[in-house]
Amino acid sequence: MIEILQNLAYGFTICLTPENLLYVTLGGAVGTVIGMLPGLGPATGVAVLLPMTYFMGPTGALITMCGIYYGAMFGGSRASILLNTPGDGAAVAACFDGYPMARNGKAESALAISAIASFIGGLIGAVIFVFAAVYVARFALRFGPGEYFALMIFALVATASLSRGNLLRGLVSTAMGLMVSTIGLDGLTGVDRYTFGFLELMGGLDFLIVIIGFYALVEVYKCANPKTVTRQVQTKFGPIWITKEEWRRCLMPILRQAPIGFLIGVLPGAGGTMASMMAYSNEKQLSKTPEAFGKGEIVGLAAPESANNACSIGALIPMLTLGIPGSGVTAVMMGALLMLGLQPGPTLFQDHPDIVWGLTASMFVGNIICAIINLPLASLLVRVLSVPGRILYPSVLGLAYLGIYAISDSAFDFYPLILFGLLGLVLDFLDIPTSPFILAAIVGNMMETNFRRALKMSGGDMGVFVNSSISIVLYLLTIIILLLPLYRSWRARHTTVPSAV
Amino acid sequence: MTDGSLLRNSRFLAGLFAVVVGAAWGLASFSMRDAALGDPNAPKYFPWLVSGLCVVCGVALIVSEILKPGVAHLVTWEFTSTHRAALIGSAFGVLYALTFEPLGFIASTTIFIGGISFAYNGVKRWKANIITAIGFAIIVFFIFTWLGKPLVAFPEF
Repeated sequence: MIEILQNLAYGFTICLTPENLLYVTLGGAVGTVIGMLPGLGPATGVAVLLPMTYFMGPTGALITMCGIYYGAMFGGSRASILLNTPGDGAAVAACFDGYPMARNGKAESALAISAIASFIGGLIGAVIFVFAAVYVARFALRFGPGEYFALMIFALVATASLSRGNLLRGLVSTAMGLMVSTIGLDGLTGVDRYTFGFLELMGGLDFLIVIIGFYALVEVYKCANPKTVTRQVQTKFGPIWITKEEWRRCLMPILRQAPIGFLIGVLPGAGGTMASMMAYSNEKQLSKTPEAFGKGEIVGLAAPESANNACSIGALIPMLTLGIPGSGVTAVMMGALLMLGLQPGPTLFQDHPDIVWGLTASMFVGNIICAIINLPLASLLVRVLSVPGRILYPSVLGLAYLGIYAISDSAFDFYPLILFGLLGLVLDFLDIPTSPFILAAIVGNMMETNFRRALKMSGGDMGVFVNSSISIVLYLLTIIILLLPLYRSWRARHTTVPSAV
Repeated sequence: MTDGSLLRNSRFLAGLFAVVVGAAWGLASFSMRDAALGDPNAPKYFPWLVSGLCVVCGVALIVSEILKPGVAHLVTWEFTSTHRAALIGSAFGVLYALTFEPLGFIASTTIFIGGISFAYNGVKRWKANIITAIGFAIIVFFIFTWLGKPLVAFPEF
């Protein structure tokens, strides 16, 4: 315990340097603005702005990206409250009661409670992170290639199952992502795979191309419309604050939904949308006046805001401690870390404590900064919502291409980027989720390497995959997730038949 | 399914798509070189495994649709502004890739952003389109240079 607090104090000495303070402020402000813009969620924001962080060093880059991440979580609800247009999935729940509040002349209270709830949720998430991350990382040090393979199978199946609720479609997406991960030279034998004669593909396909194609390009294609008009948005407000009565009613929902949001964030594939929806639903069920929900009930705004910010911090746990990103945003961050020469995982805590603890401390500082940005400066920031799509979307497209160029220094990568933009639309049309694809494209290589390494170490004995309790538990969890949809449909059949009769 | 909904059902289409992609990926693996050391098929096992997974899930989707037609997931296809934006965006993307190095950053980016802006916003807003294109190219060029990632502004002869 003392050791953790000492490490956290050390983190604050890193985070509070003028340079890193500037980065966290910059990240929080840019993230808030990006989060507000419809269609541009945190994943797109981090992906498109990634090249800007290359020159900051690992700690600065990670602090900035995290700032963008939770800044976007703060900002996402602004558009929900004022325009009924969520910036991303996690901000959808904020529309339910935030927009009615604004329509009822309570925009100030709505903006204030969303920022306050996000702030408290973020702080609770950061506190849990401090204590949980170290223990998860220590535990993960016991993992060998066999355990890692089992963990990746579990993460992939969980993501496939949770991302849009259809396991088969999720597994198709996973398989396609794994296919992409096989492109390039095979690390163990030197055989080139699926390079189709292109030398540029020998090193493999950078998964950031997949991410930027799926997020930035697809979102621009969906939003770009010749009829895009400037949106009318309220920009003049009274004092952005809440009454004592509103505070009293919101405090408990904020406090109880934050830990739940954090736990959902830790699950691979779950994410902010699920966290905020679950928080909304929980509070509606607990409320004495559930009929008020959807008509401007302040608790219906506070609870999801708290949960989705805590969730964004929870999502960092699997990425930093296990090297398995559980969401699109953490996938982009992991890509950035790999590019900076750092391998996320348990050894990161031992080898680079400055980065890990600097980042952890920045979560506290970042949340305070985001609250400052989102309370007094709210009326200034919401003017961003008036930026016309005709300027915004071509610029985002340009940044997406340049982001790819900054990674590879080659215009050749524009071609796969175009292909993944189109593939993203095809998958969207077929209702195939993209999160499992992205996760598989990232971990595919590691998964194959661990699989072959484990077999090599055991002399070809397949028993190596089930000879540890960790692997067995992970496989059991995977089987449960696979069987869950069957159980649900069986139960649904069982419960509907009597009522039909 | 009798009214043609089979072809318009996203579960069926998703399954068909998965089977085609999985089979193509699996077949393409046969053109790979063998490993020079150890098991010659070692680099092919993993692609076979994931191709197989894709095909099996695709078949399962098709079978589940045939056994229990899901009218709730019917999809129709029409050419929308999203498809138009994707086609135009992709075409200008290819042009950008072809011109990026020969024309240099400023000219190729201005053409790219300008082309996209004209296509997305129409000719009526020509002033805003031109200002966005030139402004974006110049601002991004200076930001990249400031960040220590210099771009080639103009072609070198």
